[in-house]
Amino acid sequence: MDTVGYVGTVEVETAGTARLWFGLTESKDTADWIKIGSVRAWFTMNLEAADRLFFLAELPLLMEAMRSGLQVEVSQGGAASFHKRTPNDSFEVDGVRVLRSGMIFS
Amino acid sequence: MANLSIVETPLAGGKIRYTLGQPNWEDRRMPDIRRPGSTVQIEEQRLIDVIILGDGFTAASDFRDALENWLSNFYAIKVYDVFAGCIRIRALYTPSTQPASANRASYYRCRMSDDGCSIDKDDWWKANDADGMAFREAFWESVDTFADANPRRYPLDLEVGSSNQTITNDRLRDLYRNLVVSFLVRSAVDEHPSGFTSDVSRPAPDQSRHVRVGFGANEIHEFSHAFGLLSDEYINGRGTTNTRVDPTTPSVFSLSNLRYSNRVDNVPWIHLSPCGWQERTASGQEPSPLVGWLWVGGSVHVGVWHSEYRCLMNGNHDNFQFTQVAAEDPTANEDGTYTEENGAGLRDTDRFCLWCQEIVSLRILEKTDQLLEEGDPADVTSQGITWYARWLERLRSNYYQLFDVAQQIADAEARYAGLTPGRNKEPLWQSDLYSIPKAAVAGPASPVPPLPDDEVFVLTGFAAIP
Repeated sequence: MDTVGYVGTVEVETAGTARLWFGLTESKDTADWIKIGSVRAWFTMNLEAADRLFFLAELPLLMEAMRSGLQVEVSQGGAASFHKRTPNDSFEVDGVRVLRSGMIFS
Repeated sequence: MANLSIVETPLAGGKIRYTLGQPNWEDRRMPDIRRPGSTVQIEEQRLIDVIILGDGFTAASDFRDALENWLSNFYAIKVYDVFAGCIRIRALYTPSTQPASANRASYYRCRMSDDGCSIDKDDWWKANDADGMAFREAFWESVDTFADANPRRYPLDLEVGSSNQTITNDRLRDLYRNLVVSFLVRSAVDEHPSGFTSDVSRPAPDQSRHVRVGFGANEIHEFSHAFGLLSDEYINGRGTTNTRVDPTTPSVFSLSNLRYSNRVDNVPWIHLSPCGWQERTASGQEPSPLVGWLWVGGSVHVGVWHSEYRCLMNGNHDNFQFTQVAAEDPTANEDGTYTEENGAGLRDTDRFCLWCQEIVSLRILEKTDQLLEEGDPADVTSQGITWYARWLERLRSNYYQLFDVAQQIADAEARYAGLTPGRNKEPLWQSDLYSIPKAAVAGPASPVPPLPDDEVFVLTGFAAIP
């Protein structure tokens, strides 16, 4: 499953669970948080050992996309068994693509 | 729109043979799934035969009226219209001296309920009593009137899965592959008595040969059960729980419009979802895109899902309209209770959901050998697996082009965005009748397995960077 948007926030937590979370917005400059289903979607990556290289590779893309207002396409699995704010709001990420402004994903 | 002409040929004994929409199929040309925009001519022995019979009709004019209604409803469904060139439709009128009834005195001896409003479903057509055998003899005599009807059947060793699946070995083995019957029934009190779909076997010694038959009212819904092997998407009995399983091996033969697992890697229509081929997003209070998520229900209530809110294969029965909190659903009585068989009507009579449309397309392409390529395995079981893989890899994108699926999705999303089915006009996207597929058990693939000392690993990784 893929979702396209602009990185609106990046959060890291280590209390209880070591995770990076980020949210996407539909447009570049507003807080129009993308939903999957009826609730705002949170995309997440596991910071623990098995995924660490993956995380280290993806984080710079997300940060650069957020700083420069670039669109990203996130590849994610289905709704995770855990949630951030409401049930079915969390999606484990298994890929991130970033695209220079003015181009479209194909 | 396909041609709707009906041509009559009188036969002995007051019978009449009809040819329906012949200009559509006489050239045997259908869209070429490998070259969108082109057509291909198929051989006559790959045509799909539809034979329409009728019981309880005492006047030929009534039967003809029913045929006109059937034909216009049939071609109103896009997939049947697009593939009209490979579906040969014919009918036979056999006069009954009286309408179908519980007394079984009509031509085929169809058994009605006492009130005449529905066809009995207690396997009378399979019974080995005098009426049951007489039904089958009359039925097959009528079918065999069409001597050129396609005799092709699925092989006896076809392997699609266990008896606990939606589509099973028993269902398909020795089933007429390119022949289906629509059986219209008229009672004294109801022009469209409610019906069902089942198989009718030939009399002994050929009883293993059987044909799919859609009986009674809602003819195209029942026909699509019979022809497309599609299941009901409505809830019939709130709180009822699924006991079926999904097929273990993907194949064009076992593909179903229902799914009994809500894991993302088990949902075959995920490409239609908002996170699929046509990415669609919404934010805030915008209507969320809804096509292709998991919509609850499929004959039973719990543990089964279909792909859209509305479809030809849905219905009424005990459907919720907006929420599974029964007392808060618009289908509840004023006191919050619910009266059985007062569910929400979620059937579109002129439209399949997009997953059903894709399945029926695959059925048509499979029956007409349009998925076959040189070098394919000889046995049909392996062909079904090969063809589905080919569909995913190469042909589905052509299908998208042929049907303009992107536009169909946009149209469906626009329609659902305007629905407010809640008790207080809450929009559909806020409904709990759908859910997002769950993550696969294994989670996303990791490039390396967990290490006992991850810090060492990270340092090693960094050290490797020049």
